[in-house]
Amino acid sequence: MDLTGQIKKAKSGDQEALIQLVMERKKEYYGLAYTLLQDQEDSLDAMQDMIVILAQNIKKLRKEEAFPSWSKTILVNCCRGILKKRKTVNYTDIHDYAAHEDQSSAENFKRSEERQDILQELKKLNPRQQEAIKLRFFLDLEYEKIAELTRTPLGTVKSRIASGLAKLKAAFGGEY
Amino acid sequence: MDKMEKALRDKKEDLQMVEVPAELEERLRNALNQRPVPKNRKRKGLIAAGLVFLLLLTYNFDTLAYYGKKIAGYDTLTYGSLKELNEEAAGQEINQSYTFPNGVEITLDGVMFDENELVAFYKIQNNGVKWDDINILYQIGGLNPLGYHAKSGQGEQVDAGTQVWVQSFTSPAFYEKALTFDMQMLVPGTSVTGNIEFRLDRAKAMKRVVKQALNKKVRLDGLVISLDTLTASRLSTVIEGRIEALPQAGPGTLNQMFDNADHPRMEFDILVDGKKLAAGYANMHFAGNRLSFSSEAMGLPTAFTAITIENIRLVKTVMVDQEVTITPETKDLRITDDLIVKNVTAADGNTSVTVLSRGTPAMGLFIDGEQVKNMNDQEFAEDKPESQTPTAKTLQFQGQSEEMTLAVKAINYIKLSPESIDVPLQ
Repeated sequence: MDLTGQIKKAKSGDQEALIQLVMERKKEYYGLAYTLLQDQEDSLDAMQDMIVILAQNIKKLRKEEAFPSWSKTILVNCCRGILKKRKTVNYTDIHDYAAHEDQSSAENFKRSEERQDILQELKKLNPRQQEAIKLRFFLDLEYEKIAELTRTPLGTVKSRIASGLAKLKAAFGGEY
Repeated sequence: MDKMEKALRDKKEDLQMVEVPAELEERLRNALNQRPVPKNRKRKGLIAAGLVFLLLLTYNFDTLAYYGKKIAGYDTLTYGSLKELNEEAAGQEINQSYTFPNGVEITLDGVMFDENELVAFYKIQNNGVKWDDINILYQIGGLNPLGYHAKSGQGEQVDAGTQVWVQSFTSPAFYEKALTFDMQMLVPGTSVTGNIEFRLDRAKAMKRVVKQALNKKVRLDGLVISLDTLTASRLSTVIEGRIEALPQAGPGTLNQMFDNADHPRMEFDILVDGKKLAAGYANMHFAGNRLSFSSEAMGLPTAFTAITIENIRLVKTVMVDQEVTITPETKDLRITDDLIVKNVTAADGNTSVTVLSRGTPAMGLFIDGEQVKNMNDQEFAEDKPESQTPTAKTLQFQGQSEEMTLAVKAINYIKLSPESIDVPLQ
């Protein structure tokens, strides 16, 4: 069934149709949540929060084709809510030593260490700068898309990324 | 692209390896199916017309223990600030009926609502159908496709053919106006549905008096209980919060403690100028590793200066449901592993029953098939913390006989925090 048909079913109260709408794009949604939260449980929680909000509000969606952007905007807000509740940043970033890399390679090891350092410094940026940088570089989203998802003016998105990068570079003494 | 940007983009490779957890679909389905159900209330929205469920600290067949709310005709179901609201005709009259094919008639007399809940006042007339055969599920329907589910409620028999009921529901969203009072009557093998349409008059809504961020934490039994917000009107007071396990408690602690039918309830007392608000409805919502709760009490008085939260406690009720025969000579009668009738004494027409337990038992005494009055039940209505080892508790009953029946409903185990919280009022 196409997107429009599925959304119409979801609007009529068909919960399964709504679940399938999300599951058909699960990598996108989960990837977005995980990028922002860096934690499996929190990402699943954010998606649970998202689908409840979708169910409550889907009847208000006028253009079916807007569903992907609309739902991802909701997901970003759910992620922000979880980040606010966190007492400490709890990154479980286990993929710096990815299975496909040769761990005996000194070059790969150095690269992983560098990435870990950058991630540590990234955590020190303010939440909005972190969010914008992650969406830009981890998910390769265009500025306009980031602006749409985060409900932020385009200029502000560019400014957050630029100033965030500047702070990261300063943290490494200009090495980058 | 400079080195920093390249280093950040390299992170993308790692994220592309992240797999979507297999449990995602089930979690999404559970999130939609799981509304904040009242796990510490057994009805979950189903109100059998002949049954009233009590939150037990004492056991009494005849008592309707909770608050009631009134619109004309519900005189005996009123309490505290709700009685005042009723006298002020603060509710919205509906006065519409629906009759099921078997003749049972439901009349929705009126509603009262604020941002925490909607309360429905309705009558059931059985028109010859046996009360035990009348089992009806209620929900409020609106634009929200999931509707608004039933929370707590109570009713009373007015005469042989009529019961009056007061039932609270989650509050309709701000955009709702045209609502339906949805009824599903359960009959053997199937069900019959009906509804009453009504329009919510928002001018009649109880205005919020207090909405306050609490941001207070209390440690209790390896848990951190966070009281996050308090929202109150003259109709209801709701405190919302979360429960988390202390890191040293180990992974899975919350699941082990709460993700089962016998989990403890989180309760506390809300005092306004030193006077306790009657407790209403409490529910917990368990999703993933997060446990949130919402606890309701009656509404605020018209004027007050201070709100305090005290006696934060975890209450675990272990059902016993046993009856034993006792006499004035009974000694050391074991009922459960943690309940022993130590001795029974009769004097001056009264009977004292001493039991040993770590918790507080909810018991009733019957003489010749009639329940007799418990004279010191208030001692056991207070929230006494459980003890490490069994301690003696003596219950005193009015009446004595050579042979009596002791009915034990449950034992309550309470872990109590000594902390109290003053709610800052702005």
